[in-house]
Amino acid sequence: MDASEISERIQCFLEREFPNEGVALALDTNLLEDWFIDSLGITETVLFLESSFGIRLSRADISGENFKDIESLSALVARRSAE
Amino acid sequence: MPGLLKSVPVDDALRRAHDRHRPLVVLAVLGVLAVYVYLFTQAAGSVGLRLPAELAGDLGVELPAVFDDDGNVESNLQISLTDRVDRSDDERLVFFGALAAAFLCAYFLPLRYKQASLVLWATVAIVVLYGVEATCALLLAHFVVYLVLHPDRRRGLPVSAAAGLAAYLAFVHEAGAGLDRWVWIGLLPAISAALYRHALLPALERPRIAAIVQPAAVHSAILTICVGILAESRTGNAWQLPLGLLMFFWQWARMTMYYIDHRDGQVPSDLPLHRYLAVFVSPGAIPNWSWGVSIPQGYAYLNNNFLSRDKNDIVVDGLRLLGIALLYLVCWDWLRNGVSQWLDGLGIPVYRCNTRFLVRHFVAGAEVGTASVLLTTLLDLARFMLFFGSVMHFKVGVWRLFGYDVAAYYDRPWKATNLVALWGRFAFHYREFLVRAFYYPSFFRLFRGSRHLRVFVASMMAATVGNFIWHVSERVFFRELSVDDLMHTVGTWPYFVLLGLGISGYQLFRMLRKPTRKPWTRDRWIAGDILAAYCTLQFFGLIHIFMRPASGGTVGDLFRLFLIGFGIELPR
Repeated sequence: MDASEISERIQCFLEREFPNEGVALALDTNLLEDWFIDSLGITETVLFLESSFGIRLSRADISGENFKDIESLSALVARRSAE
Repeated sequence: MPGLLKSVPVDDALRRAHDRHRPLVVLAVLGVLAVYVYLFTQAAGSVGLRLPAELAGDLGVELPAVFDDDGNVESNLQISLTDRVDRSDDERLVFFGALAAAFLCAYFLPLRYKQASLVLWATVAIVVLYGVEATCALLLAHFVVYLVLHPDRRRGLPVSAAAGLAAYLAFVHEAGAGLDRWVWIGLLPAISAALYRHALLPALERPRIAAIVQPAAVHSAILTICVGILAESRTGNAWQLPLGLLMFFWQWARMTMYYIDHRDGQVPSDLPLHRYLAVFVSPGAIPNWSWGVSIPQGYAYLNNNFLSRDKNDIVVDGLRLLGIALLYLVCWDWLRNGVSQWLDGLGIPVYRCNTRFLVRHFVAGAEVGTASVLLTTLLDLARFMLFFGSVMHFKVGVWRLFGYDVAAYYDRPWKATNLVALWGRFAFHYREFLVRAFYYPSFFRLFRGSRHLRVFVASMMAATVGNFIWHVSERVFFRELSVDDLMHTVGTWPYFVLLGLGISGYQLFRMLRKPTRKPWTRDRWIAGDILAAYCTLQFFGLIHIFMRPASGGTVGDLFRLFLIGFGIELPR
């Protein structure tokens, strides 16, 4: 699966699970500032990433750098998939 | 509310760009601190000014229960665990003085000296307020943790020698006089450095030993509780800990956060000592030291938020919080008194807005109605929130004065429409501690095959188990290491279970049914938000019945009282 496909699936998930009227979700939208509404949203995103891409995430992956935007999440998935 | 994830690393070049001076901001800070000094110390009387109570009288303002006998404002802002300075007013004056000096240094000094100056001024204040012995015991404990978590021969040897000197000043400085004293002063640092060089360093090079020694040093507070309780059960004598160590143990939550950062690779291995100490020994940690939940952040969060945007904007945000804190500090008792008297006048007893008095009354055999239970628990929660919020706003405000863009600990909890949101709004940094220390370890290890079970168990681990462990440590350290105090906390278990079930239940509900609108959107559903906010606060208030047991009462009595809140009356 290439990076654009990963990003697209993450984007669909975020738009479906965390509808945010009035804000357009782009690949570089700051998820922490403009999208997630609470820490449960982060937990659900972890569940989605693990089940959709067959990866295992750890506590250390829950960081501001990894969850900054769709591109950084996509890069995290790519790194974990390659391991 | 993204929580800790909002913080991302900031480099020094950006910090320097944010470090611009504005004299008006400095004057505003000094002005606000002067107001605090005027209201909460005896300084006004000393310089011949009208005292706050006299000034209020001159202005015709009546604020019953606000002023104390010596004419200034009664305050929750305390210097805990010490009576070294005669009066609490004078303790606050020392603190405000150190705060002003620390602010000026942190504001004007070049970037590389800012954090060191905060450590220095905090140490000076702690020496004056708690004494040399306590300060040295506190520093000794931190030196040991630093040496264990950051092993390095070049940096470690002087720190280990300093630890030896701190040990002398904390524990054995009265052991001898004259020549003996100098022998001790020379001997202890030398022994300490030798132990570090030839025992600790080689041991820490072995991963298996490091994996035992490092968590043991970090969690020494909890280990001490366990050993102390066991010792008491065998000998019948409760342990009394030296004050400095007690102060160190009170920082267990913050230490745990630091250790999580350390394990996650977010703390540089070559971190200088003063930047380690800046996390723990800062003026922002001094007021209400024994409120251990206050800002339990580790290195990464504080470092990432240090001068992460324009310094003056952060300071002004801090002033805003100090202003709100001032309002709460001055008015909370006046409000509590007024509401309590008004409701008592209407024939609805609310027991001075205190659930503890309600429980005592009920356990003593008196009849209590549903309205009384609901109003007393709700008003007690409001009382506690104002009381708690005042100190937390002050502490966060102080951190912001130093350029740390720390999120508010307390953010209008009455707007929470569910228990998860309530915790984020009521005790934001404490919730983050529970999430990182208890929720994530469970979530990433247990029940990975079941989404719902995984979330449920992780939530219970944080809200019930972690929360309970923290409250045990709080209770035990607040008194002494004794079985009685432990049993008292164990008896409050229903609070933790009900809170955990409430939070876990909401998380599962949210997973099954996604919200389609944001709370407090101005539409026709806003009445539902108001109802949800009331139910959330009322439930949280009601379960506090279990946190206020009365002597002679049983858990069954507390459950009966709890159910009366729902209109269910069981026979005694």
